[in-house]
Amino acid sequence: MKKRRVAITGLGVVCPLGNDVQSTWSNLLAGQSGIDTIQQFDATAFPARIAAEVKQFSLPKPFLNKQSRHVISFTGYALAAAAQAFDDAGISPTAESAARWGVVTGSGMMTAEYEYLHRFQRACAPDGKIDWSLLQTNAYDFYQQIDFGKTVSNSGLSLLIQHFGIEGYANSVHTACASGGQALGLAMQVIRRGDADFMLAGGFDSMINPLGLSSFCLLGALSTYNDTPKTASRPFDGTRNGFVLGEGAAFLVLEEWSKARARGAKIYAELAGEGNTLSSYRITDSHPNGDGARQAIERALKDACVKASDVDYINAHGTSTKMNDLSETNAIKAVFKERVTTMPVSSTKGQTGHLIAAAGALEAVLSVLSIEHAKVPMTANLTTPDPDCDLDFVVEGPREKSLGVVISNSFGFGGSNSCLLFKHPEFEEVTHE
Amino acid sequence: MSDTNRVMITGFSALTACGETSEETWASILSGETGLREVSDESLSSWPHRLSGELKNFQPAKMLPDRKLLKVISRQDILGINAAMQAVEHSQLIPYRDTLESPDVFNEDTAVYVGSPGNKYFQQYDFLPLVAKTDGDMQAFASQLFSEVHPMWLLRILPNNVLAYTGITYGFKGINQNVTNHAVSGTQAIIEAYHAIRSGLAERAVVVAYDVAAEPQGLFYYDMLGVISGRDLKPFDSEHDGTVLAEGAAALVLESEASARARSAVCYGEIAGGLATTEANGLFSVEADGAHLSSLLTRLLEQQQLSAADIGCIVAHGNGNPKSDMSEAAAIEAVFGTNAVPVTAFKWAMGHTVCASGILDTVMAVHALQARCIPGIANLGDLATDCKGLNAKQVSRTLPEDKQCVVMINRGFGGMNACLVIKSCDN
Repeated sequence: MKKRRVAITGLGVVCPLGNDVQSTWSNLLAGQSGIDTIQQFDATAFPARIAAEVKQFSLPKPFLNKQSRHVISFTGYALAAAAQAFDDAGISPTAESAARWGVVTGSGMMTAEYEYLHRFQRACAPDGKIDWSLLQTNAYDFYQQIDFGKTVSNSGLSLLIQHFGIEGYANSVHTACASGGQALGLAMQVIRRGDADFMLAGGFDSMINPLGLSSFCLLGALSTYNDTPKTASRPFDGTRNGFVLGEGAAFLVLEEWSKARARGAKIYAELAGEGNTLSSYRITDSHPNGDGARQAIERALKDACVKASDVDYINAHGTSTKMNDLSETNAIKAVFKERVTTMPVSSTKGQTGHLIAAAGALEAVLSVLSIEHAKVPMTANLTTPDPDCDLDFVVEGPREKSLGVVISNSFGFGGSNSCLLFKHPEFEEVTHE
Repeated sequence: MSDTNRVMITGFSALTACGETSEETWASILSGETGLREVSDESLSSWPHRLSGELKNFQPAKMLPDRKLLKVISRQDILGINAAMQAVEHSQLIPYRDTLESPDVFNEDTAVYVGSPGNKYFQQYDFLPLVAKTDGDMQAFASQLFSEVHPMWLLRILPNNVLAYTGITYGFKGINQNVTNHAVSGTQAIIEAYHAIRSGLAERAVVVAYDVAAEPQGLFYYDMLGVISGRDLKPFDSEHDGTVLAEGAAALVLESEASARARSAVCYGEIAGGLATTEANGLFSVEADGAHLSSLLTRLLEQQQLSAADIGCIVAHGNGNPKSDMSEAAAIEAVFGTNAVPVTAFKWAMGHTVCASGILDTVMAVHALQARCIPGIANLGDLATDCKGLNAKQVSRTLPEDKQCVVMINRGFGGMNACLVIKSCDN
């Protein structure tokens, strides 16, 4: 059966490299790093005290209203990035079209933040042990409805729905670092099956707070190159020792292809395929031989009806952890075989840090821009080759290259894998016919 | 997509305040017995509203034989993984897989879809002693972190733990989603699994949803919102004055017809279709006239080429909150007619399990289709004025043999509405 095609017509980003698409892309190509010493709180005594933070962000004026009382840092990034994507697409929900607009978010964990936990502790756990009677005694001092609203699992989704008047399909997903990629894949499926004609899809997250940073420090997952923050995230490098936390949001406007064409929209690329698999191996580690990730890549190719030889560039998950980078390298080798020596693969996390639930969405935007500008971003900070990670990692700097097909990988704690496949809008193909 | 690509239910489970299996829960509903009690935690004795739907016999070691696993997950995950294991056992998927020469294709074609409550407040309490000791001093907080907090803390609270461990337990490696969309999460997990099977992205799926909605801090916030009843959960009743939060989990095994036929699986029912949309209002808003819900139900019937006369019973959300009940009643009356299609609801017995509520109601709907019985709402007295157009009864009724379809309605924060058509399996 003929599948409805999905056009990408709008992009929006708030991330450590910039608070819009243009500055993010130009800073990425210029080799800038978004990583520095943590500014949001005193992290000087933590084993990892660097992160890729969003800089100089304030919630745009249109969002400073009653509806925004449940906004927290990263749902604010989401509102701003979504607004950019709508502006860029030149289309947004109206009273007539609202029911045909949908939204899928790859949402952060929505845990309460330190400041809130500290207030709770003071109210009803003075010595660290909860006395529930105190919560009633102190209820009117402690209770703020907005605290509840900020931590509900679909709080960010609800903000987007309200602000932009979306009345169709709505969903929020969380599969850790695969969330953003899986959100985009689901949004593509929703358009394909006809449940919506237009979708807002992307991700938002920040775990740069005392509890989030603690959680990853306890696991020993973060880079401890604190004295050299700009080179601390070094995907595929022989000396990599962990990832660097990032934060931000990225959103894309997706449209049913013929509708985008009919209104003369600028089509950046086609979201043409998705591979979504489960590794079923371990909670934090992926299989060293790339099992799980390999099937995700293979499924994306099959879904988009393209051959491995059609792929011109891979935007890798490339977190800068020992195991992910090895496993991903082996998955790519298993699928692309002898082509790996000449096919560019890069991870942009060397400059952006790891945006967790938003990572897949940001990297989808960067993949689309690489098609648009015919430029492959570099893998920053790869100076000591790892003999086990021996792909063409584009270490010399951004590379000019015409790109017909690009894939973007995202893999999460828990073993969920996402591979998205993008085609140049004029890519000659037999897909969907 | 082939119109004949049916999605069959070949296994199911439920754990609720009424019982630790779906059969126990169904029996409790049929006999008119509620599982709602005063919360067992005596330290909440001073709280004004203490009704809750807790599992009566929560024994982690019995529920999950893997002792190591118990150390790295939370209470809610135990419920979810146990529900998934019960449903997989019920479906007899694994003995069939064991007969295959290689399990690889089977595993890669088996999806896992989960409705997850996301993070709960209780999961952060491990930090309270450290927060109390250091009182905002980040230097002290960081330096004592490793001696005060379990190194695996993050792994214990992952919102996708049930998804991950369902996969790891059985080696399932197919398409997956972890829906975190408040109370409609479970229903949306069913809808997405349905589409994955219909479109050929999976041959079968384990769908599970779970929640411990009655955790104290959650109860506190819902109560402050004014949506908790202090006396009973009475859906559509003139005395309805709020909901009662509960914990629970349920799971379904869904299969393509080809997959079910290949292993001669018992078909307990079918998912015929489902839809979910938002009302575009506030996080806690409910549209008074139920217009968006009416529109959604109308679309669902059109999509399924069904009329109200084809529907044997409506399993309503019926959470006992007057605003929600009245808008739901308005939508049901607008679409299905006044005092027309029989309406029932199950939350009066097992409470509102929030994220798990839609899948629990679906499992009970499957029981209703199997037993050809529409259970009564046992504590229903007089219908509320705005709900008098509902054909709801206190007593159980027969589900006529010529009625093969049940509609299930599920609602959540964010103005979310979701609904399903569940059919008898005609084999």
